[in-house]
Amino acid sequence: MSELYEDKERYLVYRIKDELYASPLLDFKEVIEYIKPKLVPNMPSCFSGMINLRGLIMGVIDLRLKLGVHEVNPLKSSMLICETEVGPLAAVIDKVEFVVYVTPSDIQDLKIEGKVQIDCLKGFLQHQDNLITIIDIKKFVSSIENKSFVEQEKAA
Amino acid sequence: MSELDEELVKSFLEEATDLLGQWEGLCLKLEKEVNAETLNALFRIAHNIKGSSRAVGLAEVGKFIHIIEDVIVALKEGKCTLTKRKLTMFLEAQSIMQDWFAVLAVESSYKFWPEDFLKTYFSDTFQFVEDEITAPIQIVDTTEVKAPAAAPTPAAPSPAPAAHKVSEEAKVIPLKKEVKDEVLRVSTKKIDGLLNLIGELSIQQSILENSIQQSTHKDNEALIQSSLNLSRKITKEIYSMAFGLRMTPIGGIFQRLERAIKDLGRDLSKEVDITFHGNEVEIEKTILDKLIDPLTHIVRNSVDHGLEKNGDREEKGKPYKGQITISATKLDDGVEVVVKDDGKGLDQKRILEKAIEKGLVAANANLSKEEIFSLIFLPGFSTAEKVTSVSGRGVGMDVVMKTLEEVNGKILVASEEGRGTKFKIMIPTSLSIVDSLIVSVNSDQYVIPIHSLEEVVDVDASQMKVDDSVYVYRGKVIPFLHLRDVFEGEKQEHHRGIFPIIVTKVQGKRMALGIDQVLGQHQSVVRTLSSYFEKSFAISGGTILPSGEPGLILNITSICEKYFKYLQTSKEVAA
Repeated sequence: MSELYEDKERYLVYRIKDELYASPLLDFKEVIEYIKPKLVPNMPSCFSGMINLRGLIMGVIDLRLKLGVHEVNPLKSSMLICETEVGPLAAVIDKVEFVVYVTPSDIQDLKIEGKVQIDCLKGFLQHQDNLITIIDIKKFVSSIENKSFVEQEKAA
Repeated sequence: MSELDEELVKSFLEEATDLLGQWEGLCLKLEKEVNAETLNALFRIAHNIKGSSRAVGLAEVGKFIHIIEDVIVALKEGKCTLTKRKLTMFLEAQSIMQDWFAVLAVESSYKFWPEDFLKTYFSDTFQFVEDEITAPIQIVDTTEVKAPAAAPTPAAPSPAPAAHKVSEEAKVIPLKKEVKDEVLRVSTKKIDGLLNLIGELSIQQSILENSIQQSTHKDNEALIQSSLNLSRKITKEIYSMAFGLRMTPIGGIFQRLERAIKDLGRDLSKEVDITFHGNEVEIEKTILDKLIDPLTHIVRNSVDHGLEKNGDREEKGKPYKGQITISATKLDDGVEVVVKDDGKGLDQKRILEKAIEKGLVAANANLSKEEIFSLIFLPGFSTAEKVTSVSGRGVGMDVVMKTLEEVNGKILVASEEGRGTKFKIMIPTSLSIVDSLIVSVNSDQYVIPIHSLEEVVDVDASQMKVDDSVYVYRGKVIPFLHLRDVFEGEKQEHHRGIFPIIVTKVQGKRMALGIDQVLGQHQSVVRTLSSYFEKSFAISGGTILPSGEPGLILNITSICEKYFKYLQTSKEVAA
């Protein structure tokens, strides 16, 4: 890495429908092509099942469902493998876009309640013409319930 | 002591704990027969612990063991004789050190000095103080030398029998260890064997590489083929040997059982002869650890409730000393451990009365002998008339059963009044591979461990009664549940015609579970699943199916338990 990038951290930017999201690159172990998961019964709806990745069985979380995108095309998607506190999980997204170098001060720490619950939201990044949501991916994929503020209110 | 090297202390504690185990064995040996060899061995252990403890900076441990060592030296040189009191002191010192080391393992800066113990047995100048009755060990001494409390906690209950401490330890300490990486002692023979095989494998690999490079030769094909065959064979051996690394001989826990029996026997003034068979039988370490508590509980029950007082035995034509036999046998699908005593046996009438009184069975139930005996495994059952510190706290055999079920074990009891009781425990040797059945439910494949089912029967849908909720199994009505209803997913129409069910027994109750199809048998290598999967109660683990797809191992016990609970609550709601 050249000096230019000294204070910068690499983020992986990925797309879910029309939105761009990013998480620290080092939070991912690998990016793989979509493997059709096998059903695991009695699990939360965003949990699509499990896959066998070279002998390791891991759960699959469909981030799109977690983020409220319901029309999903399984053929046009990738899986991001990350090691979380509850073990390795594969997160399904639409497309990996690019890697961006980010100076921490560029991240706008704005806590707003959206589709991502606040404790998994790390801020926003203005990149070229895009607004990228920065997610704590390890926390986000392993969190079970993802009720938005509105849904929580409804439930209460 | 502030600059203690954690690693050093850790490895010392491992070594020392092992030595203490041997110490215990030697003391038990001395109790039977005093000879120079055993004394020498005891001395070497004390000396070893002393040396190593000082080397890692645990000065107090060194100082303490030095005091004990002095007594052993005096014994060795014949300056004094081994008395019961000395032996009790040795055993107690062992318990103290075991507790001490257990704390040190967690907190290496722990400071401790066994003041009470030393005051009890030693003068101010650390000379061993003999009791008034200095009975040499060989003479049968009926007056029990009660050992005053000497546990690290000064407020320990008065004549704290060491046995109680041993069993409590067994419960508390493994819990702490679970978080940490476990350390196994493996014989060098096993490691050498493994290294040899790996060497052979790499030779085959280079033969393969070489053959492929010179692909012009005609004979190469045969060479490659034979090399591949050999590699396959070696890989298989490596596989089974690598599994073998986790295996430890069961004899290690026999010694602890002997101690538990002896200690309790002393407290209850019952003399017991113990026989062990099959010390060399090997079981996976994790399973072996799970066996300690249940076995300890069973043998203590045998001593407490099973065996009669020595005096009462002879008039019944039994040997003066109570006989307890513990044997381990290797079977095809696991290990069988049998604990047998020649005591008074289980009292069928009393068990039944108790069970009826506690509402565990209906008053008019017509039960066979076996069924009555199996009642003792039900939660909340305890026949002890008064609560003693030994057994009978109402948690007993049900906990034993539950602990064993955790490692896929089973327990059976057989008993003959006046003749004795026999507990038979069946456990798998390894948790890493399970024999299982691959079944399909809702067109998905699932794996059911064979040990969790009693029978697979083809039934006709018309045999299901009361809205498909019960099945008549050999004249008995048992609850029925189709696994399709357990699993969410695309619901198919309820099966009509003939379909297979599995019959299983959980908590002593039978239950039938419907499946769509039995696809075949499989030796499943168990893969641990991330804790995320714990959300689903129906799953106990994962495996890779022969097709290469991931498969789920069903937790039949938990499915049934959940269903029983559901039945219970809906019954209450109805009432």
